[in-house]
Amino acid sequence: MLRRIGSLVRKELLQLRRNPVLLILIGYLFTICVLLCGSALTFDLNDAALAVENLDPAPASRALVERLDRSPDFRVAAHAWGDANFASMLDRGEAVAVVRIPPGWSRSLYGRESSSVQVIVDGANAGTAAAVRGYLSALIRRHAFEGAGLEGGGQPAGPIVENRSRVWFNSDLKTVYFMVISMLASAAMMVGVILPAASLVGEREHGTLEQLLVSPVLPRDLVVAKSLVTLLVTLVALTVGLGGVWWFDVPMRGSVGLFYLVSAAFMLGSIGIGVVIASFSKNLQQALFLSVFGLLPVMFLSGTMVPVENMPRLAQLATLASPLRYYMDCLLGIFLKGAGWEVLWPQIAAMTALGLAILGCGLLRLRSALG
Amino acid sequence: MTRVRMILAVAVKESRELLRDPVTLGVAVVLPVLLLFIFGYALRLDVREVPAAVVDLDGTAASRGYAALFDRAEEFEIVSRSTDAADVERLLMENRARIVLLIPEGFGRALAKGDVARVQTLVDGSFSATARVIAGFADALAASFVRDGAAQQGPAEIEIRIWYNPAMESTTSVVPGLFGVILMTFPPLLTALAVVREKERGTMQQILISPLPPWSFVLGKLGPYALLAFADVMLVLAAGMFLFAIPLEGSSLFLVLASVLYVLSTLGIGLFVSAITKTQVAALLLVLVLTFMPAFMFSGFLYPIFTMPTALQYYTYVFPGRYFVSLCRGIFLKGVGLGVLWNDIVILAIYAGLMVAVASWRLRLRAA
Repeated sequence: MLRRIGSLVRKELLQLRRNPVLLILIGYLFTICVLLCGSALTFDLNDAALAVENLDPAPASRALVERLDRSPDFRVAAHAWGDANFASMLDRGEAVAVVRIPPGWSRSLYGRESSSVQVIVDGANAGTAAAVRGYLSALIRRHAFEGAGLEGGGQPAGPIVENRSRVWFNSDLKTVYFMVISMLASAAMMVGVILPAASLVGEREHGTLEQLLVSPVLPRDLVVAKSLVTLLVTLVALTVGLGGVWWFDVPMRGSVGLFYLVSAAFMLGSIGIGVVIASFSKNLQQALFLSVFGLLPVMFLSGTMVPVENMPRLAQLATLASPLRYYMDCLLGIFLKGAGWEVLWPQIAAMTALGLAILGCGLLRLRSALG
Repeated sequence: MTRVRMILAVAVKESRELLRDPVTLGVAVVLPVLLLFIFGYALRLDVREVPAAVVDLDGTAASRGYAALFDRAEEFEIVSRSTDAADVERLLMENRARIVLLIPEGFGRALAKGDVARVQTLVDGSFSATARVIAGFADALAASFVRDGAAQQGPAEIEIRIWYNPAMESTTSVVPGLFGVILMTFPPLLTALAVVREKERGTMQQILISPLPPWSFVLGKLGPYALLAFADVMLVLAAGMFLFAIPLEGSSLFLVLASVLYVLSTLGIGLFVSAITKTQVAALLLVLVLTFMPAFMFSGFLYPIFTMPTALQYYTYVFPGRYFVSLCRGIFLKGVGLGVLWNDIVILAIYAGLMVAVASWRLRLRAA
């Protein structure tokens, strides 16, 4: 039996070598795609343009404008005058927000008057708007309380609690860490699904599946051989992908061995999905269509774009059925948090069980599709 | 007349093939709606009810008051309370909380003496986009703490208004951008596959030696897919406007004009791909790399363009997605017209003309 599987593995590898398109796709996913997305995609604001109208000529409000300009998130791109000007800047997308400090605002710091800073945020991109609103309100609120504390005087006094926020696991708050890890996880998923699906459907399309089935090869041997090849290719590709990890200085705080082990366990589920897709498709085009587009929802909803806890409860429950969700948790844990087996075992166990279940379903479907 | 009949004949043949392929048709109809649901409903970046943990080493009324301040804020939800400093690491490591409030011993005593009390906040930075906002809110909340635990009315309030999308709904900003992604993905994909399929089966030669002029062949092929693409747009538009109540502030005529130009340029990309590939698999993957990925990641649909490195900002100019996303958001949400959006529409028109010219030149070359 081992000899049979061995020769089948050799056949699969030979066939893969003759399929440049798939090889190019795998290479693209693990190199160019990781580099492009890692360097371009971020929800950080990086000097987003603000339009500021300061109608209060006091030091505290000038300090606020300066603080906005100095912050890494914003720069003051324009000093605007009047509502019409504001409107056209937001319409043209020349500023992400307009900040207007009313006359006498700094006096309100000591409680003598009450007036508020007005902020208008461009909501056309809800993600950016959420960040702009969050950063601006925290920054202005903090400036107000500190100003009140420093300059003292009337009521109310400055803060009585001094908070020190520290960010763990990613103290420089770099988006690229998350991006690279998420790209690797998604690429592993795509390759893990596409390879077995394409090769199973390929056999059927070329009519070689029947030939194999009348030979002493058991269907089980065939699936085992294809899975082994997928596993091998994905692990090699992930090793290439670690180049992106190195390039972007993503920390690797956990164990590399555990990384490979977890990836191998994850492959059970993605190979399973590939087998299910193969059982549904008549030709290669359908198989690719299903693996690329059918997978999109799984990919987006597994914590690879935004963390699972940001989703509505119902969607959060749905992610429990996705192997990618557990894999993503494991990778973030291993790379950024240095988590080991003792922390990750529930995720690994769930991922393995889920993978075996999907693979089992796929094999059953495949057998009935063949019969 | 015969020409029209010829084009129609090709279109009918193509529609039959399309109808016989339930997988392709299903994906083309179901996927846009799924994407709408996912991006409109499930993917949120706003910070609300972040799971927070309190590690209270002080155990006084004041420290409980401080924790209560966070529990009441809509940004946080206290999911775990503990009195053991060793729990801090475990809570963050095991993903139980994104933020841990660590109140050291002596917090209450310091406040009673009138000193400034010190606390620490530990934030899980693995997803940095929300981690920064979370840390900012925590700082601001801590600064607003007064003795009885009520949030202090700030010495100076901030009044924040969100224009174009007052409730800051993800759907409102995603739907107009999603048109860009859908129109960029399906029309070129389906046309490229349709043309390459003929090549792969060897039926292309038969068509070339038939009396059918190449361009009527191309028009007939494109027809059904352009219709399908517009049906997709209508579907998403209807779902967006009726299910998610997206407003259409600007002119619908202008929107249609922009969509037609956009579809022409994406169809052009599809034809171009079909001219340079030989197999359906290669065409499918090339289309994904040339259209889906850029439309998705480099059009400003999700990830803002202004935050990208300069070189990659130039990269976004190469694909029509960014112009269309900007047009759609302008027309739908901002209600602006030609006065503001003229440069996007001009570039899109040039793009469309160029793509159609290049594609028909390539195809004529093949025909000759």
